[in-house]
Amino acid sequence: MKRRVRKQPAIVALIVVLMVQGEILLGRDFFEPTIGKAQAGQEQEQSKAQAQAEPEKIVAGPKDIKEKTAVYFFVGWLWAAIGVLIYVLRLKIKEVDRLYALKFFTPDRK
Amino acid sequence: MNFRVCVKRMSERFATWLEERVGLRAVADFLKNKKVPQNKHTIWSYTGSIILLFFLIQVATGIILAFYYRPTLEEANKSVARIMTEVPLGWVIRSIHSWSATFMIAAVFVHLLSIWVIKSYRKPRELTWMSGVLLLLFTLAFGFTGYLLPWDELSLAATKVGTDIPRSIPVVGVWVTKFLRGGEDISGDTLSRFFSFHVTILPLLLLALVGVHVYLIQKLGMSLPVGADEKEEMRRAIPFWPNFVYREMVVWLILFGALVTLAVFLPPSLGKSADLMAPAPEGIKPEWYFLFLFQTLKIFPARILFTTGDTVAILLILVGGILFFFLPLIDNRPAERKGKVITWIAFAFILYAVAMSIWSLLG
Repeated sequence: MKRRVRKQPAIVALIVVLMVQGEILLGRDFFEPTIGKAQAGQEQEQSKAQAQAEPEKIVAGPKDIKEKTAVYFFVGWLWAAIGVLIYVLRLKIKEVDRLYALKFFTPDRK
Repeated sequence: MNFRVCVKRMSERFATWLEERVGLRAVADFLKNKKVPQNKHTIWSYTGSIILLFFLIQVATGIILAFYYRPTLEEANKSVARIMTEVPLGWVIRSIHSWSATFMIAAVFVHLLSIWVIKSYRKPRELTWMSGVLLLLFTLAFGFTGYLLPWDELSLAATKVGTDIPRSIPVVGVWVTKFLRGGEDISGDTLSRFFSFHVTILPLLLLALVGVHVYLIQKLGMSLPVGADEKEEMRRAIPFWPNFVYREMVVWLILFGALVTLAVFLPPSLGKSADLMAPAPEGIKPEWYFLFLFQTLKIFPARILFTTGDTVAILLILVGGILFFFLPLIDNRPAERKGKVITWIAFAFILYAVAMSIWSLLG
């Protein structure tokens, strides 16, 4: 009885090694591919046919002159708005820095 | 009673009602009392919020793209083409998503490297640094998984190379490659797996980790630079609200303008649908943020002693990554020590990464 108990850790270790080696832990279960060879071949054929049927490259950009004008106007307006906002924020920063220097918000000043 | 007084009373009542239920006063008080150091290193304090800005843009544009994107072998490339050609302003949204990813990764690198150089990782901010390094890894994983989604020749070839690299890691390497690909080779399963990572798993992990990171920053406060004890001007601070937030808003606005301008004038194109059987195009290169690692792998010879050069290179990169992660435990000296060696190592790393990237681009 004692001998069997002593052997147990060794058997467990052997099983763990076999599991690791035999790829039971290394992903033959949940993470293993769900597709078979036939399906993989089918996918490859499909992707080849699809690649041949499609144009070389799609260059992104406005579709027509109307969209082009609209987008460029938007960028112009965006920068104008950013300029105004930065100007306002600079004034606000100066104001809050001045108030902080005067310790305006500290409780003991009130 | 005039209208103005009525509105004021109602808003006060609503504020009291909300305060009793949510208790936001504590947060407001905390923000009111929070201070941000104001010294020559303050510029680096903006990088954290810049990352947040680009992350929010990524989320918003990513949601819009997900309305139209289909993660299947037959539809992936077609759906991206549809976004670019048929969906109103779809090309701008895709371009903003792509450019903000670039901006975000660049900001994460700058943020981490600045902390490395000014040594803000020292006690008690070790965990803040470690969570930051993990955030860098997640950000790179976002970039890697997102690169395959358009399913064009370039993205397929880059993913083939990228998922093949872990194969050289002893013991677990083959499993990692299989796990990433969902099998021996890249297939439709790889695409759906990457999509799942990109839109569900990584965002959840990132949000959780950002929560921990921000909590630690708020709890410990922003660090003072080395030598702050000696110099009075280094200990100066301004209130977070509104003084620092107004300054951050200026930076946010400029970067947002730059992002939209780049997205409009330099939108990314879309290649032909990927062919799984076609050979990889010549001169294939990964995205700019992986270039230095890619070149590092290339400079190693095919065999070194009893193993392959790739294995040695991967192991060296892993060791480097582990040392980087545990940097606060390696450099655990008091905050007032200058640590010139660490500074030189940081600059040497930056120089190496830039040189390797340029070499890879020219090669």
